[in-house]
Amino acid sequence: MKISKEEFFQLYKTLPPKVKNALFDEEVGLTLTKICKRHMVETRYQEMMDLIVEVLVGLLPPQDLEKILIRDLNIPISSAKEISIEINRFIFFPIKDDLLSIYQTNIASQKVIEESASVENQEFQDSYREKF
Amino acid sequence: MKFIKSFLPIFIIFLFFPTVSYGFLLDPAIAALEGLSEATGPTFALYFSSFIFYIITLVALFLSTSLLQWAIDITPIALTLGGTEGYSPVEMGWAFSVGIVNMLLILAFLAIAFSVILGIERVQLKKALPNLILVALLTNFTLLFVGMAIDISNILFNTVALQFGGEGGNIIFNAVEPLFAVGQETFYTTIGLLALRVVSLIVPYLNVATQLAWIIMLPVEIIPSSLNFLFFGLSMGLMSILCFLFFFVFVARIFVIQILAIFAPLAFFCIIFDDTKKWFSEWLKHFIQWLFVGVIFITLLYFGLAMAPIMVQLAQNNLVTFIGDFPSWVPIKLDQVVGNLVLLCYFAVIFFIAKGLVPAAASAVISQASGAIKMATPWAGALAKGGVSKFRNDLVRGKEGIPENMKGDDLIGRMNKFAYTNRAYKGFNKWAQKADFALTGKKTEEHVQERAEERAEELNRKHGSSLVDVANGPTGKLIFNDPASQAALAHALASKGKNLSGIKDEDFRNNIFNHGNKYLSPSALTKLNALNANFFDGEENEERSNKLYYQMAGKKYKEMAEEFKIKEGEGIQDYKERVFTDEKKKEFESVVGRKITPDEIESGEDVNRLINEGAKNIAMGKMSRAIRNDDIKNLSEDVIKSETFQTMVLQNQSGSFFQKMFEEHGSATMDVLDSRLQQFIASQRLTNRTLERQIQKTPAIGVLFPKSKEISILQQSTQDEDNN
Repeated sequence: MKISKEEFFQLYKTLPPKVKNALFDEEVGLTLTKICKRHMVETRYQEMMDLIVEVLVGLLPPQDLEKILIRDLNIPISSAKEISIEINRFIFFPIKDDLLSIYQTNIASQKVIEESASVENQEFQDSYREKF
Repeated sequence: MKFIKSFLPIFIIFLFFPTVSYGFLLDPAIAALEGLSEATGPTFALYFSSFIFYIITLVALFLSTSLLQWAIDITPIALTLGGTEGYSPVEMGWAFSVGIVNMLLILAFLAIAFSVILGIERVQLKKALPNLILVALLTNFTLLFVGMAIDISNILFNTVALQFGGEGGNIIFNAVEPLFAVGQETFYTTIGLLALRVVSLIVPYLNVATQLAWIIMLPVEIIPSSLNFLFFGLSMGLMSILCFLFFFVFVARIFVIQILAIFAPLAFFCIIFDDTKKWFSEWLKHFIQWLFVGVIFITLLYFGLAMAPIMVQLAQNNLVTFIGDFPSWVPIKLDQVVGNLVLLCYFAVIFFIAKGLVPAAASAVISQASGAIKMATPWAGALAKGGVSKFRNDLVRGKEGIPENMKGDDLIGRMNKFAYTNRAYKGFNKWAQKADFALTGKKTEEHVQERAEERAEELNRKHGSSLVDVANGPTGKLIFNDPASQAALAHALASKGKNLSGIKDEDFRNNIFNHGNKYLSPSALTKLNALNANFFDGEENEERSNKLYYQMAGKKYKEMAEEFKIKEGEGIQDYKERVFTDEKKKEFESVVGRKITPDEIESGEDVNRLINEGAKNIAMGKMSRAIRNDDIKNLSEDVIKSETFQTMVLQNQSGSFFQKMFEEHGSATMDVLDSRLQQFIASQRLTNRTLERQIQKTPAIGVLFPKSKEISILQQSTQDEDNN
């Protein structure tokens, strides 16, 4: 799920300062580059960066990252587990308290998730109808 | 009789209360007196004021030369480290400083010892140890070193100072004595004339005769005497200012050197550490400067004063003998005039030489002292200008029949037809500006610039956020009606991060912008331009924009653009040979900010255009850096939409700037910037490598610039494929 700039703006306003800074921190990209190189998944860099953005804005709980890596990015289970641990350790851990607060209270992100889910369902229903 | 008797007491009582009675005999005298007074009044005022001016400057010169002579006489006695009658403040102060330094040395030794014991020694501490030992030894001898240096300067000083007194007499007094003596005769005549005039004015008819005599004496006595007083008064005034100044330097020198001697141990202590060495250098510099400034001053003074009588003699022998003198009725003698002018010139020369040689502190005082002249000059200029303006105004208005209410450009246009008065006006204006520059070292623009920036602060203090409303209000154009106040307004708004879009009237807005650029300091005008980037948009503003880019980029760009311009009638081969030599190419590339390709050389690329681009890039970099984070929230929509602004920030700013832009102006603004950036990357015009990297490496920047990110990734993969 790729978020639009406007959605990002709405979510960004509700984030704690530390998370805001992490979103504009170049270190995140540099760390991710190293992780990708270590696991030889450099081609997946951009997609993984999108997932990190989703986690940071409160759309994807960090514990679900591993599942998404396996399911959507087709990364082997063993690598996905390690990548997820490393991302959690090096990128999310320094701001873990703030991230926790987002996932406990963030109504804005829930709204975005619900809206996008309803759009997906609608698309699914329409395509289903087309087949008949 | 009885009737007369009854009136007698009344007569006696009223005898003691005199009242003015206008008998028919006095009527013509009073009428004549009033008529003549109208003519003699202004000349008497001139005569009397110039006389008073002469007396004041005479006293000032006497006082200043006496003080200067005294300062020279006491310097060798006062400038010692030992005191009088067993009391020496310098030695006491020095002992206190040595005590502190010894304490600091022990602490430093302990710090090094502990660092060695605890194994935390650092290279810097090890390096400081030899210096520490050296300083521990030297500190206690600092008074000796300083004393030796003072003795050397005193010997040199005394060698010259002895020439001022001794057999030659008081050389300062000898040099200025002619000034005291020259007006003596005129002085007594003046006192006599004034007394005579006052007394004679009481007596009827005699007062009329006196006034008449006054008018007759105008060309013979009054005007020449007034000129005499003014000329010698001015000479003496300037001389006394210079003498007071020299006096100050000589006296200040004694105190400053003594204070520096007290601080000598602390200065030596500063040698120990690399970070503090600069303080020792600073101390040494001041010490040497103050020691020798006295010697330089006194030497220059001696030569000047010794030469003055010779110059007067030369004037007497050559000028007067061969050229002649003023007419006999003029009380000024040409040789005296020349002699005094020479003396004055020499004093002024010493003044300007000394200004460059003396320590910063004394130089600052000299600048302040010249404030006396500085203050007087603009007044004199303004008075002269005002006089000429008035004359010009009245003359032209009268001749042309210009109505009283005609003002502004219309009036200037009508007035400029009168070449003679216009020349006189401009002449005075130029003279006032040149005199001001000679004395203050600043051009008129710089004064206006200083004033504008000071006034900007006042405006912000006074009006705060309502400044734009004041400018737009009914009296706005009256308050900000001149270039300096418009520049002040521009600066006041820019310093608060506001642009000029709030000013409703377009002409007024343009004037404010243009005058801001003319009369503000480089940093202030860069900020003004950055916040008003929309003024640079469009072809219609190209000429003005290029001029401003050169102004912001620096003189070097303008000079190079001139140098590399294709000359008239120059062939392409000649141009290539002239411009693309190895040496020039290097210089040129440093200005343009990139390498010149062989293709460009072959095709005889117009270097001027590239220099222009280089200047633009540098200026945009400066403008971009002038925008502070606090200013971002104030950026108006028309500025954000401006092509120049977008280019400027996209080429020079990095993530934190765009984070703030996003926070303050939302996603729509970022859409606009993203589209522009996409164009730049596609056309490979982007030179902002930091931003391009951040788009890929910083999570949110990638979200804010999705189109640019996409094209950047695409370009990168194409490059990778090419490399493979």
